[in-house]
Amino acid sequence: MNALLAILRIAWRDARRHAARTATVVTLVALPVMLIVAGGALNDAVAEPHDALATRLMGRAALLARGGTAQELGARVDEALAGLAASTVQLAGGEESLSCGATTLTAKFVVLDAAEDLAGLAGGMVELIDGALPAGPGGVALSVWLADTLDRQLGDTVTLRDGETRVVGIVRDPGLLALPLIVRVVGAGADAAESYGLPWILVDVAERDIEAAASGLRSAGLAVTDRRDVTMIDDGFETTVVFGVGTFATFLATLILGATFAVHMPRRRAALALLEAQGAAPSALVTAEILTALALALLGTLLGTALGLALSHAVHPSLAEWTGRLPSAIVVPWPLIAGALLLACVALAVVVAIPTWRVVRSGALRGRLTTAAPRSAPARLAGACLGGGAAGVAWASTSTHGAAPPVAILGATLWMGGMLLAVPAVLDVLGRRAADWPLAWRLVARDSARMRDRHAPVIAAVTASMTIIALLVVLARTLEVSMHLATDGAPLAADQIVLEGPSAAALAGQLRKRDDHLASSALLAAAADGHVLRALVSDTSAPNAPLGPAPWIAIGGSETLIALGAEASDTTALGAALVAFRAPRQVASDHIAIRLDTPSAPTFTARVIPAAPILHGPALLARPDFAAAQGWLPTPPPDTSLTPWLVRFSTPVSRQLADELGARATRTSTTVTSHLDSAPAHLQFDGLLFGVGLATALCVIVLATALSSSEARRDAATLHSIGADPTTLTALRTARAAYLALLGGLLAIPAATVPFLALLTLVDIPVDITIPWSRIALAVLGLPLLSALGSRALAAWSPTPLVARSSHH
Amino acid sequence: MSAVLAFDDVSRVFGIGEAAVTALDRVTWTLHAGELVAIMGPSGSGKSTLLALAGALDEPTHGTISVHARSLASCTAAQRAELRRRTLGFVFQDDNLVPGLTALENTSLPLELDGVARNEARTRGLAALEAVALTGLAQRFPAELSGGQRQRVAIARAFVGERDILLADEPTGALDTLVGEHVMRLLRGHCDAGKSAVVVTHDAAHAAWADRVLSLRDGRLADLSLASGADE
Repeated sequence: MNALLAILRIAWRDARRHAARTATVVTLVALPVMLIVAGGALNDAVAEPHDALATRLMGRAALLARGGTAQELGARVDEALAGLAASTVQLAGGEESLSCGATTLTAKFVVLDAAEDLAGLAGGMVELIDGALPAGPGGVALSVWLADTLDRQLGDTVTLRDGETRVVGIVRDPGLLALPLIVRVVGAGADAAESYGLPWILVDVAERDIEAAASGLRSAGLAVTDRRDVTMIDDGFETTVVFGVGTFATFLATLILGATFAVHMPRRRAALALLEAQGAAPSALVTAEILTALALALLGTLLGTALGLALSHAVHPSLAEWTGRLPSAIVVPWPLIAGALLLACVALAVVVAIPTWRVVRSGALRGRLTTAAPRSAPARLAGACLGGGAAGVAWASTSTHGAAPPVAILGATLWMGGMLLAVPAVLDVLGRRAADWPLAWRLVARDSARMRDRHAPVIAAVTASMTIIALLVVLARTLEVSMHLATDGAPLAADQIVLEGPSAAALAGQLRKRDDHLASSALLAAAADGHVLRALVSDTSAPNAPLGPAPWIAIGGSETLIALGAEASDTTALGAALVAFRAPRQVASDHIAIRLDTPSAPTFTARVIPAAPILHGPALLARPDFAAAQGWLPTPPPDTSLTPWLVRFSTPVSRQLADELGARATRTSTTVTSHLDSAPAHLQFDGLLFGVGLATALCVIVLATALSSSEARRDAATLHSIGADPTTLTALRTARAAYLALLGGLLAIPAATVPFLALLTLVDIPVDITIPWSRIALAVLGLPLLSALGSRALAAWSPTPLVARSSHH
Repeated sequence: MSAVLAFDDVSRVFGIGEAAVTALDRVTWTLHAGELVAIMGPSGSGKSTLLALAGALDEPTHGTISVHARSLASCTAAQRAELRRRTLGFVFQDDNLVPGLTALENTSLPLELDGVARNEARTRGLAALEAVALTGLAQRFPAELSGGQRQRVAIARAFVGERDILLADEPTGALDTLVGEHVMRLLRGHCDAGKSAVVVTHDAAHAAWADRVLSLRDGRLADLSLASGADE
């Protein structure tokens, strides 16, 4: 033990003596920990507590029932709850326009029968800030945002569809702070409530009767939400994502740390040799190095935790503005911190133990006396991993066996591992073939081959980060294309605009007066039983075999059809009652089969017309009379709180019009989207992913180049002494960064191929794969360029001292 | 004989204030064409500093250094680099070969850096290797050569391009006697062909190959033993 303590003391002093390296190691550990801690703390702060979510959705009720008209709903609920000691409150939700002076806005409506309901069973659904809840039809309560935007105060009046009404209260939706919301009490029961939108009923029942009540309501054909299901929602997904991102960052940091320790180990070899010469046991040497590494891991975790919490507290005040929801206080995410510490310890222990053990096993003393080249990962093992991985994924992709998914994962992992293990061999081969390359590249290739043990981890880090980012981007692009979010590469035709927000209806009304106006329509979705309907699209010859994802169904007439992009002549298609804008690729007919994603739903036939679906728009349109006959009610489409409006013109939307509308809409938080706006959302998303991937890889390369500058200093000094001018020396340094980046990026392409096939096997996406080749090419070529520029900037900032080599003063 | 390298009242001080160390103190001397000069002195006397200044790797704190009557103070970094490529050749004690390049590539490196076409650079590099009897090892990397062979490659690299002045910093320090003699013979031959060389050495036997021996002590050229026609 004393011997170990003595060695440990020396190792710790070495860590302190090389302060820059130690600081780099601690920082590399701290950054992923900071990501994990800040991500976890902020996620907890913005995540709505389950009880709060349940209260916002269903007040204090145990069950929430939807389905049919208000009258039908009331009758079915009464029948289902007969014999049970239950109390109910009926509400309706919808949206309505209100005016104040020249301003007209659209707002969400909550309609109650009695004001006391909001203090009782519906308590907590909205929060009273000032005044009182309306006692009857004579008053309304406005949300804070709405009152501020319209400059209304208690006692002022606003105009609703049925006339002028006094503001008696100011309320807030606990879930959406900026929601324009009106609370109204109609007092006349279901009929009045129904006219405002979709009705629902809150049910309170004794705990022992909840099962029976829920069962009865479902038997009556109603959609039922059980409070216990809401409060038991598994919210581990976000935490898992945060930890996953942190783990990936730790993985990248580990590879850089590997390079750092590989650079450091030749120097450390001398100290280990001295200790070995004095009789230190090899196992004690390795143990001391690992314990020192663990101490650095602990330091890094503490620093990362402190930084993460500081970042969380710094960001916390802005969360309400960003999310539109009041965040809860920052809580220290202890389980995540423990996980991060474990990750850091494992990562550092591995990167320290492997090179130390190799030095000790080969005999540190002997190693000091000879200059034997370090051993690289055996190429044979890499070959075996690559072969096994490819074979496993190939089998899994064609097999229906239950073991196929795990084999696919194992195969992809083996392939990736094989690619990373093959990096030293690739460096070796390139080094041998560099004889005819230009001087800078020849030198870099030969150096990389000669010191492949320290360069391989850097290239592996670039390859791994680019591979995973490439996989994510391809998957994201494919999924989004499959969801019909992009067809012709643009979200809207040149003659369309979409208005979303409280002023959408008012702005659409003003645009009707323009000479070039062709059609305006609210984009309303078909809903039944309180839910937006989704359609399963299939070939008419095989109606039970859905093709692709389930789109939502719009309700509208010929003007909606024209606004959506159809030609005037196609409006006759509405004779078919149900129109589809695009058939799945597999369907050649001009008719497709539609089945709703509800049990025992009938099958319909939709006529296909040649019009491209717009971004976030419907893929199907139902005639209003047809929708009414099916009992479908119009409601805002999925993922929107207010109904968007679509306007089409006879001429392309000009920049002037877009700017003018934008200026008018901004004041009321309404957005105007046209073809003049930036790239479609999916392009922005995978662009963001690519940006993250490039930035990560860039950091890895520039940092690794800086770390290896000491090993390059001697060669630079030699070149300087024989006449290399500063430009040549800078070119050499930039070539080193560019070489590592280019190789890492190029290797990422084959590295990503097999895992991507495995991913397809696992998720079974029923669409064609969309690979953004242009972005991949841009990354492979752009990364070396950026790395070279970054390294060049670093060289200018921290020039290599060249004179010292020849001045032994 | 014409002067190819001249030091005029040159001083080099490292550090400032109380920590200042004078490595060279008002040194004046001249190297002539065809002359082999040996510089001797104890460790820390300023020998390597003098060589670094002569090779335009460092700049004097005071005084003027001229190569072919051109003051180094008036040269830009790029011009000094050009001087090292075309006029000044360096040989260090530990050879300083670029480990990633073969013997031939190391030898032809100054030419490549000077923009000479690769084939021509290799041809001339091979000729320089032939001068040091290493043609057969042209494709070997430094790690595959012995210490003496590496030093001969370094000398070949310093010879290549017909450079006028060769500056050698203890080129025989890490070599055995026989190989050291061989290296000195090469340097002597170089000077006999009309070129010049400055050799820093601790070995009096090797210094005996020189036309003149300068002795440095505490940064001063204190002794001109064996010198005939010395400047100071």
